[in-house]
Amino acid sequence: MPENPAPQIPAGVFFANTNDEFVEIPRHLPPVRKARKELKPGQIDLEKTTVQELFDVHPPSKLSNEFANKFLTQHTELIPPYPYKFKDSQSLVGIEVEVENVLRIDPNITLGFWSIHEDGSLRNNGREFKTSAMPLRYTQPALTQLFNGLNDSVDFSSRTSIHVHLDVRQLTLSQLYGMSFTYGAVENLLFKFASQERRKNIFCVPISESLGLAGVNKAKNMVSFLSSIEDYWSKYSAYNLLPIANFGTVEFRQMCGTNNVTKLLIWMDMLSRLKIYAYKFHRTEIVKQISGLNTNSQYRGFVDGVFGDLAAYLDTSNLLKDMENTTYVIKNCALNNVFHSRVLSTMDLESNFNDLFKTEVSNISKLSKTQKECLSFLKKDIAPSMTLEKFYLLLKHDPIVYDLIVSKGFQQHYYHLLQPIAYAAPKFKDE
Amino acid sequence: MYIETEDDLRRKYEDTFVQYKKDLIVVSNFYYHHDKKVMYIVYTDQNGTETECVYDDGVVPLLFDTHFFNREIKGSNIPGTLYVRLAKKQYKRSLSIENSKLMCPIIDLYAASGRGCSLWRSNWNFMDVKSMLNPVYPNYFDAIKDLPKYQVLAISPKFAVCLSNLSQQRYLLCSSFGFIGECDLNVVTIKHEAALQEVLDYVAHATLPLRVELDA
Repeated sequence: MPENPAPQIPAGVFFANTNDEFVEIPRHLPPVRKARKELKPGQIDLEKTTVQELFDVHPPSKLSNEFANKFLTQHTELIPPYPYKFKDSQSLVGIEVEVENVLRIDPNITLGFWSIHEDGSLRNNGREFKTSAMPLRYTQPALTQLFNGLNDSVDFSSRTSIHVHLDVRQLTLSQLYGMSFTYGAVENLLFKFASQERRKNIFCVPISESLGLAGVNKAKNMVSFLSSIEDYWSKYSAYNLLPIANFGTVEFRQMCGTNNVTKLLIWMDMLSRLKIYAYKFHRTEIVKQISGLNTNSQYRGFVDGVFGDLAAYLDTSNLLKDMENTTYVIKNCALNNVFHSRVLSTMDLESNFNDLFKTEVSNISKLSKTQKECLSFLKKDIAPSMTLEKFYLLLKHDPIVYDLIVSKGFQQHYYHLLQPIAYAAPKFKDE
Repeated sequence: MYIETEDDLRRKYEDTFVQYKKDLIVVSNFYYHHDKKVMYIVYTDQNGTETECVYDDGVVPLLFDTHFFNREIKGSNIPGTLYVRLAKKQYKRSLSIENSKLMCPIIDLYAASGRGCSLWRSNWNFMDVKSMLNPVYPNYFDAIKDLPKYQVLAISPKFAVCLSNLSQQRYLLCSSFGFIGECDLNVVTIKHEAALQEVLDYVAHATLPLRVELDA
């Protein structure tokens, strides 16, 4: 035992030695709890309601600036000689780093920016390191501290990856769509930068493949798609929208395991620029831009517009191949397919699809006497000019006719006609 | 270096289609013999033969990008099918019903008209996987001519044509985003504007003497 053991440092606080006195500085800013504001459906506005308001997301447990600055003054080795200049250094991110073969962990890691977790998907002494929400400008010392604090032989196997949560609480719902569409259009380029192998990973499925955003067309409207995001989205999408409901963040899962700090900083800067682009251009303008992309130079212009100087880090050697399909997917997700709905709600009896069932018409001869009476009764009321055969076919296969029958209160006739075993024949007035 | 256990491999590949030593197989099991040194794999090949042999770490997982393809189902005239990758939570690394699904545009028409369709199935077999691996697409005009015979046919990875419930003479053009227009031997009428450019590209690449018009 050493003669003067180091003082026990309580979790979550930092001791700064000023004038030989210990000063307690909380590591995290306490989350500000505001009164819950429940939004009624009519109060949700795509253009005005923010993600934070829609989901009533509380501010995250955020790394305090005071703590981070004090920590860095005491760990000057973490201050980079050439700090990376982020376009939006205030933007909040959370980082999850998975590592295998972790044999040594510098205890200071948990005193600064990181917490350590077990992860069932990792093997061979695998650990997951997570930060709380922190401004981008602290990510460089944080990553440097982490990778310097682990043994040199750590393994970034194919099981490991790095996930970045980007704070989108202040985006309006429309801007979140704008960011998602922008991401979708450049998804393949981002995969190429982060890790092309991750594209085939089952825990990181591209949205252009899983057609996740196509759910927008299945939902009642764009607001209800986001409000019920858990019904439409899957966690293992490369672009994971599920955390918007709990944390107000979007998770990017594309990055493979790596200790290349520069690559990670560029990656996070790129992701923050997707958000900046959504602030800069309205969703409809972004969709218009994407819809107009058709040539190599137009694709290049869009990529430059989104990423600016960082576009130089992207592999743009085959833009046509990388962006042709993704822009096609985004266009189709962004614009409502009215024709599809029309096809499914229409039933023209004189169509080549209905020709497949022509033989059904002759089945009228097999109807019982009371069933024929029901059929004549309904036809007389609903479609008097139609032949009995056509009306029978329409009755069987057109949901609109069924709705009409329900509205007139003739369900009993309908069910007797089509399901004679379960329903008794109705009594007619003249019987 | 972590060596995957039999449990790891089972969780990843059991009941999935994979390529193993250049053959298409369905994995049934992995296990160690008594000495705990040599791993064995049990699988079924395309002929239905079950084989048990030493596993030499050569499993190549199969996963495809979302695309249309034509499958052969005995006694069925519904070949056109859409393969879609799923992002839901699961462990299978290769083609399985947990990470992929098959869809068919004509089934939507059946459902909308209150009918079921016994000629189509959403699970797949060796023939289907082979068709996914090497998809063959008929020429547009051949597909249209064949349509009364077939209910739906994939004409490219992005598009399929199928019978229509709107018209006697024209057919429906479908993409992975649903029905996008009507078509016949002379004209393709695009009803969903977002699909226009890709249809134009398809017509141009296939050098089809076909008019494409927008009516959205």
